[in-house]
Amino acid sequence: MDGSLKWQLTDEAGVTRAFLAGEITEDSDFTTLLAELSTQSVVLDLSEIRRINSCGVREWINFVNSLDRNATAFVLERCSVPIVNQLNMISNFSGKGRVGSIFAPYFCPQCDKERARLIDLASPDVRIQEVVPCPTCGADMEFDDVPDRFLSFVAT
Amino acid sequence: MTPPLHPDAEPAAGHDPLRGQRVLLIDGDGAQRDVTARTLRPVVAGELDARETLGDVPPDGEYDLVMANYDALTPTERSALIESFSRLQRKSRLLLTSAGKCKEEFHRLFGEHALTNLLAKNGELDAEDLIVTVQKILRRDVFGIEKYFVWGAQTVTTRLTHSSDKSRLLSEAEAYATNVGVRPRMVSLFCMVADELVTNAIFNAPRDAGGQHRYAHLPRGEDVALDPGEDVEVKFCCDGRRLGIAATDPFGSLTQERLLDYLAKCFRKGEDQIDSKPGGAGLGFYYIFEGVSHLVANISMGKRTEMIGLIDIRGSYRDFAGSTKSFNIFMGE
Repeated sequence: MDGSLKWQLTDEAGVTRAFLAGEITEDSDFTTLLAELSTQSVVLDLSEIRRINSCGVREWINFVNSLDRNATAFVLERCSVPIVNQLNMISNFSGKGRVGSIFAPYFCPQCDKERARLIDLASPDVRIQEVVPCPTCGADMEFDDVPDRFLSFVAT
Repeated sequence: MTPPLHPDAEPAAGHDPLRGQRVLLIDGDGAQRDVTARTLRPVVAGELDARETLGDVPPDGEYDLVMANYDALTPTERSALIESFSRLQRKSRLLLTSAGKCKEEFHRLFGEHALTNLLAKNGELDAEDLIVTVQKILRRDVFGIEKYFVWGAQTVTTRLTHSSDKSRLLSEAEAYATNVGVRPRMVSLFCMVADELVTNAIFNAPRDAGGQHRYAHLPRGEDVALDPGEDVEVKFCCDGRRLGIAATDPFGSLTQERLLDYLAKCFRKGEDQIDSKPGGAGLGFYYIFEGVSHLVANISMGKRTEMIGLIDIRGSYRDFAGSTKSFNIFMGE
């Protein structure tokens, strides 16, 4: 299956929304995406980023630094779990951008499935709910990471 | 008493290379100290001294191995040990155990080259890992992923001769982990570790006749074909407790210093966390470390390097994420 980085752009009221999907690796080239971002306000939807390796991280950092240099205000929205891992591991992963929302991992023992739940970081009381109902079967789903560790990037 | 055997000497027929070796165990937790001593006494054919406190740091060479419970040491004792063992070319080896207090000091412990051997205590200290680790340090018989799995666990071997083999390798890793039955997040973790291990083995390990890096300066998307006999060997193994991957290159060019310095840089999270030089980003070892429960580097200088990643799959991803990690560098013959 081709996991290479893909994107779709929409423009709404002067804000460009970029939906990125796939993998961010040494093969990812952000040059074209950078050229296509035509407004000064960008929302990067990262919900479909499935994998990012160490070489891809450098490509990403160069990309967000370019956005900074272009004086583009940007927000990272709906960050997938792999992206949240990078936010916690790599200093300045988000550059001067703001992280607006993330997906938190949960596990439903009834369905035997991993699920992700969106958390809005704009909320004044950002916290991980340890147990939430499964949207499919209603059973209790447990948060599948360490709360302080998963949100450590928020504190820094 | 038989004099200590020089590490490079050939043992006489029937001679136990561990005979005459001296081990010092320091643990302020009396109950743990007793359990550890009972585990090690049959293994260490020489002397095993057990103490509650560090006291004076023993001179280099007085013991072949100093083992200390990091969490039970006072800050003064920790500083004394770190300072004493910050020189890598020591005769004595330091093995630390920790239930997690060392995590806060990783950037310092790696940066001062004091942390070459660490065993995690997640609840109990794993007796098998303890014995394997001590045996490897004292005997210098270091290679083989099989040492970390129960007898009878089968390994699956694959080889890479070209950088383009990485995509095949990642598919094989994904299939292997999925077939074992671990959850998708663990499968992704395993694949991430596989990615970083083989990228390192293909691009950073190879040296030319003059000892210079051959491919380290290349963008990681570049095509690299290894010469005949320079294959990277990758092994997968699982025994229900842990899932493991080993990548071996025939160069032995990784040094302890390089590995420790890269980990220190990454854990410091300073402006230099990501390399801007041509080639890799300098994050590979860090990603591997963060992606496993136990990272092992077996090095025979100039001959081969075997990097092993072991992931504890007995619990949930949360259990994995909340556990302390083990880390061990072994210098082989």
